[in-house]
Amino acid sequence: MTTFIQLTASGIAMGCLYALVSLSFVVLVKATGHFNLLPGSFVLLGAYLTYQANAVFGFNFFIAITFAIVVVTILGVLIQRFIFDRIDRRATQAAAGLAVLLVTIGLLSISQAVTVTTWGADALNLGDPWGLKTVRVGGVALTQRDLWVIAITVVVLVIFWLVMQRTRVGVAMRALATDMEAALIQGISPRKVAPVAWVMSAGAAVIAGVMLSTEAGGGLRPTLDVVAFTALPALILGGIRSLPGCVAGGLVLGVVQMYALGYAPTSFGQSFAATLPWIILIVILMLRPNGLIATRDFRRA
Amino acid sequence: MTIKTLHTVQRTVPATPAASGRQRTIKRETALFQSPVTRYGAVALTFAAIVIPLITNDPFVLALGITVGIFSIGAVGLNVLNGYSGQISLAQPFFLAVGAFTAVGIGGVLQLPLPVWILASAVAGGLAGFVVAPFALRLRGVYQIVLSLGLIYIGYYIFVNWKSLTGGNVGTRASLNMHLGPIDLGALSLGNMLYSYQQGLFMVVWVLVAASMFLVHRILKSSTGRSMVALRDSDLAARVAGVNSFRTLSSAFIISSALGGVAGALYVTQLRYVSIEQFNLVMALQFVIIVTVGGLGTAWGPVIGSLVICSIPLLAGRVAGVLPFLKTDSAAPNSGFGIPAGQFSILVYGLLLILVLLFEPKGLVNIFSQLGTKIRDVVCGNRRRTTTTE
Amino acid sequence: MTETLLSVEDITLRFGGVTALDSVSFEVHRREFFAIIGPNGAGKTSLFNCLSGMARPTGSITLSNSQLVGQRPDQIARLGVGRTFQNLGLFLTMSVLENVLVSSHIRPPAPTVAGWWGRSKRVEFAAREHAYQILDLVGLADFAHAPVSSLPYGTRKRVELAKAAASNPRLLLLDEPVAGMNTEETEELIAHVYRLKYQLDLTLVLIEHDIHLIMDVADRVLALDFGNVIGLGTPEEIQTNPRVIEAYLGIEHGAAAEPALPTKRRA
Repeated sequence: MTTFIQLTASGIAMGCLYALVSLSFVVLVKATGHFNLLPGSFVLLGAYLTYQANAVFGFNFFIAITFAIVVVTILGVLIQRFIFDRIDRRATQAAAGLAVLLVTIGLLSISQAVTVTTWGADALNLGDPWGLKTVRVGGVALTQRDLWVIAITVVVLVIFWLVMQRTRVGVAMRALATDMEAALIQGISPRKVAPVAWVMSAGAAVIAGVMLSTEAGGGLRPTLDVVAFTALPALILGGIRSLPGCVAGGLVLGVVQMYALGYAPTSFGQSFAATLPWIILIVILMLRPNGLIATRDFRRA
Repeated sequence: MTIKTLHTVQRTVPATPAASGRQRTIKRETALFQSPVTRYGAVALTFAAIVIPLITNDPFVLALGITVGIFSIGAVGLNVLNGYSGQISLAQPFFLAVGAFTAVGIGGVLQLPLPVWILASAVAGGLAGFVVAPFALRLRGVYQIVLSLGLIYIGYYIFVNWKSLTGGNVGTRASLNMHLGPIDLGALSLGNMLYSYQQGLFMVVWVLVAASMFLVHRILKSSTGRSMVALRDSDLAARVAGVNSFRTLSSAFIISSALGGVAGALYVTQLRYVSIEQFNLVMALQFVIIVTVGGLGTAWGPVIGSLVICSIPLLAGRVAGVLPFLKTDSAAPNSGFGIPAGQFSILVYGLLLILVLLFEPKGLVNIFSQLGTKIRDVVCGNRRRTTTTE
Repeated sequence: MTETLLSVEDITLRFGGVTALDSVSFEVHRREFFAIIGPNGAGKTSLFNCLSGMARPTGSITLSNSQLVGQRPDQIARLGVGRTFQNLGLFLTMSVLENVLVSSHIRPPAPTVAGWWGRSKRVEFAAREHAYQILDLVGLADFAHAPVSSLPYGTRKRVELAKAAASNPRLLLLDEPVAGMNTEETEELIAHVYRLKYQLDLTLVLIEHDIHLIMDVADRVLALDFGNVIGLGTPEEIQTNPRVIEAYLGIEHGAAAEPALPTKRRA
């Protein structure tokens, strides 16, 4: 029984991270109109920048995170200004989407090269305040890290919810995503909305990156961007336009994956747990080619 | 109103050119090679494929050439899907893996001759494509990309657990049979010249590059090829014109994956070792970068793209330590300022991709052809005549 | 001559809360020149979308003996329906001939992969001959190898026409084929349309705004407004139909000789 609770707790924690990464993707899609892979770079750079501020410059851990979020946001806004807008101006919708995606693949490569050049390829210790300490809850040992992950994620989700529901900018973002023409007519300007979206996306990604680096046996490593992509099935499961959807998708995925890790027999083979999300993804996509939570854009036959 | 009177006038058909004249035009159009570029290009390529390895034994040139050739074949395949049909796919490494391990089984374990395992890899790749196509084609945009990415991970899972064939994540050594009939291309001897394994392999790879380019060229000239491009240009208009979207795109998929299979098979021959770890996301991105930077939907784009992308790491490794900002990969991490050669390549990939997308979306092929046109004009003293549009 | 080719029965199309078509029914006779008119948003293009399989209504659409509702666009194309698009569905990276060739392979069917051996070569040859014949009928044979993207608007409209006619349809749907053209260009294009009609034995359905043009060319007219049929008859009948006039202008029609309906002609 204790194993079950421990697995569930770890699963929820992992699910939270998936949810955060998915949120980062979804917010970006809503803000830029195109799906792209920048959250991968954000996760990577965010974690390393936090390390730089905290372990090298000596700032407080949480201030370091904030610093990283600020830097990554600025990067994002610059990328949109100089690259995305340029592509959008010159190409049709479909071609622009492909171009944007490819550009972010290029940026992914660049960010990875920069990371390894600056900080080396070995795993580093992020210097998080909770380390490997555990806590006993009702006879079950849970890692402090998992609890922190869940707690911080809840805080982030609450902030996101408040922004989207209660602030003008958030409502504007939702309007733009639901019906762009109607929103534009009402005077809602994508330009004003964008920076907030980038902050949200960067914030979610950086926090996820930092948390991912505190994993026991993991550490801060240059392959974090690839790790971020393992959240993609969660994104699809939840529907790429739905914020609550991708959170739900992430949580489900995290828990299921943990159970697979804990309970799957060895006859299922090596790396079954890592592959399971993708298998589920394929099954779901076959049954519902538009994701589990169908989006509101109707298609003519 | 004059229109009603046009009824009667237009019952007659305007004179058409003589039937034989028209027939001759059509015959010319359906000939094997249309333009001088393709005709001479094909000859030059086949010539180079056979002659270059016979005259040089420089291991660097040969190794580079073999790598470029292997990636070219995979890229030519991906180009059919990406460039000509407008579908996005990150799954090419999966098909390379299928081809590679088929080759290991048929050419390595069973030691069947070269043409057999090449064909087997192509068929295996094509079959895998045939199975995957209905899934991948039901999806659009993001979903399609993510699914193709998922294929890499699923492929990893399948092959890493098939330890008897693949050696798990450690990989397996495989010495493939290089016999083409009685000739052993791995140890070619002409007259009293004995050629190395690399030289023979170079020939095999580049003859196959030429063959795959030829195949794709013919497909594009056929109705299936036209249907592919039509779907890319305007999906709705193509379907309304009678193009069966599923059948056409499946064909593109199968061709792309079959060529991927061949590339994968050849991949094994270069080091005589293969591991499933090699067919990963990095390779997927490499292919996408190659096809995009080279020129989507062009004949030579995949080859030029492969040339550029594969050369960079090898060249970077050579000049590392000589140029001030490049260090060798083995240098100590904090030995002064400098980018490790390996990372430098990755950096250049990213930069190239972004620059091409921003400034020359048609790729390097377009830059070269424009350059070539300018040079030709200068050399021949032509003034550019403005083409009339009517 | 009054054999029914197309029978549309009780078509209703709804999406996202909008009713684009509401119980629309009509018939088109063989070799007829049938027109559909109506103000913007009346449902004309939606009707075409239903006819070509791009939208799925409730109701029934039969072409001779085949039910079209529920079939894919390419299946409908094979049954003999060709269609032009108002915004031009041309393949911009290809030449004029190649655009027409895409449709030319429908009859005979069966896509070929390799274009150079035996039967494939003959099929390709036949398709090219057919494509050239179509180009002759619209006077584009000289432009066969011109890239479509380099052609002016009027010429592109002709390519669109040729492309639709090349699939040897029995029914050809023309979506505002003369939009944006002056009198001369309109006459020229209509002349080509007539030539195709007679040479290929086509039945035409035309969407058009210009009542003058409809008066001249159409055998019968269907008038739509807000997805409803408000009139069906000869051009004279439609022109004096009070509901039709009201739909265009909203005021009562007096006894004027010149009907005050909009025209898109520039002198």
